[in-house]
Order: sequence, then structure tokens, then C-alpha cells
Amino acid sequence: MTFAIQSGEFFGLFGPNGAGKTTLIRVLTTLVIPTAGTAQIQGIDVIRDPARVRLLLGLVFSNENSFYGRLTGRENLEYFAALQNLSPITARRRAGELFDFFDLARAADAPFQSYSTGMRQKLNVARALLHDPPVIFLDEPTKGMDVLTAETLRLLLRNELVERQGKTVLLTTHDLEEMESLCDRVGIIEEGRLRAVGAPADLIREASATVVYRLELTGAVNGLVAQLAALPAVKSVAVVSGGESSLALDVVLDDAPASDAELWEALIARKVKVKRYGPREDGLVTLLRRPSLDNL
Amino acid sequence: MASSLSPSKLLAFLRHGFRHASSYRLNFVGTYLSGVLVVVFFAVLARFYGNAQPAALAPYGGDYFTFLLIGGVFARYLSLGMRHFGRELEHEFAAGTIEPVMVTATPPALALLGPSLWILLEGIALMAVQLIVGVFFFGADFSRANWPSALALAALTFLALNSWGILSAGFVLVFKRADPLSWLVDVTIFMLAGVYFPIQLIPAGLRLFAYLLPLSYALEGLRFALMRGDSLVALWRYVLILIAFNAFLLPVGLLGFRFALDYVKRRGSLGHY
Repeated sequence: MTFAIQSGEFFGLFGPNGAGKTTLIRVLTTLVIPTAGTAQIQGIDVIRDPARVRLLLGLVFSNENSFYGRLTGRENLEYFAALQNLSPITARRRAGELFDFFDLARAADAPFQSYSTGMRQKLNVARALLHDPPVIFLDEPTKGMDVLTAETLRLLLRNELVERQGKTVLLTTHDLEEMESLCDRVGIIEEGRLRAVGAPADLIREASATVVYRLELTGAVNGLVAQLAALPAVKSVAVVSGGESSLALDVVLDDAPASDAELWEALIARKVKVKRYGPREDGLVTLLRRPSLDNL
Repeated sequence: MASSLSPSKLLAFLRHGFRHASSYRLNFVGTYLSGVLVVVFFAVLARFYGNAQPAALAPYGGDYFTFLLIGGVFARYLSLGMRHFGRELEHEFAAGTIEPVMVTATPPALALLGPSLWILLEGIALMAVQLIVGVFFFGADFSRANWPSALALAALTFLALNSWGILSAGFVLVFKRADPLSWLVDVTIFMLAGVYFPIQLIPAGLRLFAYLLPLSYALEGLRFALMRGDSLVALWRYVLILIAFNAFLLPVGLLGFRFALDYVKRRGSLGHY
């Protein structure tokens, strides 16, 4: 896959499990050496000069337990700050600032193993910000969080990292809502290939235009498939299951949702009973089924 | 690697190790308690043999308790060098902190091996406690000791065994838990390297293997320095042999670890456990 992220951009990678999102982040953060290809961060090659690249980046791990459980949150942050070449005084000050910022000050001197999932993920983000890097990688930062805590963290990420501090962020997520609310642009990947890139709103509009509708019908369904397939708005009709008096269909509309009125009119004219009518899958998921951009 | 080991980072490694070790309070206290009990065990063992002083001890010019104390205390400490890097790496794997430390500004090898520094410092403290207990409570005789010679020999051995330890850590990186070299440690220390008895008492066939181990030369040289007061000049043969071990083990250890790190990064298995 080939893509570029602009400085100060919040870029999302969306895709199913095993799509290659985390592997891509590991390559970009020098944790994995790729078998082929090149990658650069701020013009520095991640394979040839990993030490310089590491100075530029902060990584928020999807594993919330990536800390020393018996040490306190403050001891953990101060140790990682030392590994980031911060002096002891700067490390202490910076850790204090981040505890305040993430509303963790009261838990700073409690053992990490006593932290809740939300607190752990906040500490995870705080660790990535210790040395104030210009590029941040977020690997499923809200995984395992409750809705409210996740929303709080999203607001912090968007408002603080990008809009106030101007950092460049690469986020991986399975969460459509998270992607839409945070990202300037999104890359959709599956099986290590890029299927689409664009602003979330554009991608959703594009995906909605070819949405797959699942219809479950009973009644006079004989000949219905051919009738629906002949409609100008319908791109294709696939029979999922069916008998003499019932039918389940996947119908692909050309310009949904505007064009689905034509489909409704046909169903009403045939006087069939509609048990289910609606998109079979979220709009963006349909983009995963597209051919790779490499092949377009 | 050395250029990135600033005083503040060194202090951070030591503080981190101390905080972690002392968080297991019982274990922390137990380490020192068992260290003292080992000295008591040596004293009882030496008393059991009474004043027999077998002929094999004659070259060392001292009593059996002092012989045992030097062997037991130094062997334990020096053997730490063979194991502690790998053990600390296992702890990092278990905690899930391998990858977070690897994306910091600290060079990967230093970030992975640095946290072990506390164990080495703690080992020196324990060794000092054991020697002091041996001298003041059980009459270990260091009246003729040549400490500079002993420290030089210990440093050379320490470097050689740490090189082995770094190679061993490379195995842990690749195989995650099973360190195929660790079994050698106990066998070599307690059977072949002359911890409890002079190497000369080992059957001739096995003695050959004893002389392939740096620890055998280290313990013999240390006993000559501490029990007879031999100088480094008098111990030149031991110094040369230990330098030769270092010349071989140091590059092998460093290259082996580097190869292992490169291997797991290419396979994408760095964070696997």
C-alpha cells in the first residue's frame, strides 16, 4: 500500500481484524522490519535510521497492560521518561503535568495494577506524550473502555493533540463512530491492501451510494427477482434463501438512499409483505469489499 | 550503547530495579536472609570436616571455611552475570513492556539489558554482607588477602560471564522462555568449577571440562589472591586465560544478541510471549 499523511493531520486506518493495521504501525514505529518496501516519518527512513525515527514518535499500545504492574503510575511514567532521555527533574515535572491533564493526579501514587481500564489507557496516552513527539500512533486507544470514558478520551485526543498542539496522528480502530468523529482522512484496509482513502464523510457518501439492502418478503414472490432486477435503480439482486411464499434477497441499489423509493413502489405494487427492509451492513464496510487501490 | 548510558539513565535503571525488587518485600528480605544462611551452612560444613584439612587444600594455604566462602559467594555473584539478563527479559515479556521500551529514544539493546543493572548492584551488596558475616561471625581468614588482585580477576570473570549472559538473553528473545543455556549454569558451578572442593579432586575426564570454564580459573585465582595474597603478576596465567575468554565471549555475546533482536524484528515476534 502507498499513502502519505500530512503534517498536523489526524489520519485513521479502518479495517477488520487481521487487516494489517497493527503491523503497519509496528513497521512505522520500528518494532518490525518489513520484508519489502519503504516508509518515512518526516523524511527519515524508518528502516535505515530507526534511532532518529524513534525520537519523533509516541506510540499508544492497544495492550492496556504494557506497564510495570507493581510500580505506581508515577514511577512508571518517570522510568519511561528517563528512557526518552528526559532529565530526572524534567521527567518529574512532565509526569505531573500529564497526570493533571488526564485527571489521574489522585491515582498517581497508586500501583498501576490497581488502575481501571480507562485509567490504564489514559496512562498509555500520557506515556506517548512524555517527550512531546510531533507524531503520535494510536493503536485502538479506546479498546475495552466504556462509552463515556472513550468519548472523553476522544475529545482529549482531537482537541488537545491535533487542534491545540498540531501533532500528526495515525489512529487504528474498529469503531466507525470513532473514526468519523476524529479523523480528517481515513484509509480503509483489508488483507494488507488499501481499499479506499478519503475524508470520512466522502467515504460514507460513496459507500452509501452502493449499499446492499437485505429484503425479507412473504406472499406473492414468484417472478419478483426478475422484476426487481429490471428496475433502473437496481444494480443487482442476489437470492439469499427462498421458497414459494417467502424470499430473502440482497439488493444493490445504484444511488441509495434516493433510489430506494423505486424499489418500494415495486414491492407495494406486488402487494408482498415486507418483513425486513434495510442496509445489510454499514456503509463503510462495503468499501472493504472493493478491489485494492493498487489494482485500480 | 555505552554513549547513551548517561548518569541519569544509569540511575533510572537502578532506581527502577530497586523499586521493582523491593515491591516484593518478602522476596527482598529473603534474598539477604538466604545469603546469610548459606554462610552458616558453609560454617557447619567446615566444622563437620573439623581440622582435617585435606591435602588438596594445602596449595590455598587456608582453612576449608574460607575456601568454601570464597567459592560459594563469588560463584553465586559471578553466575548472576550468566542468568540475570535473560531473567529480566522474561519479566519484561510477562509485563508486556518489551515493545514500549523498544520505541523509546534509548537504543534497544540498552533498553532491554539496562534494567538488570540493579541485580548486579544488589549482588555486590549481598556478597559484601556474606563476606562480613563470614569474617566476623565464623572467623573467615582474609588476613593475607590481596584485594586489588581479587577485584581485577573478579572484573575479568564478570565481563566474560556477562557476555555469556547477553548471548543467553538473545535466546530468550527468540525462544521467549526456554533459555537452553541456563541448565549449564548450575551444573558447571556446583560440579565442575570448584565451588565446594578443589578442581584437582574432580576425576581426570571431567577435569578437562572444568578447565574449559572461565569460572574455574576465576575461583582458583580468587582463592590464591584472597587466601595467599598472590599478586596479579603471580596470577598472570589466570589473567591471560580470562582475557582470552573475554576476547571470544564478548563479541560472540554482542553479535548473538544483535542477531536475535534483528531476527525477532524481522519475524514480527518481538512482543510475542
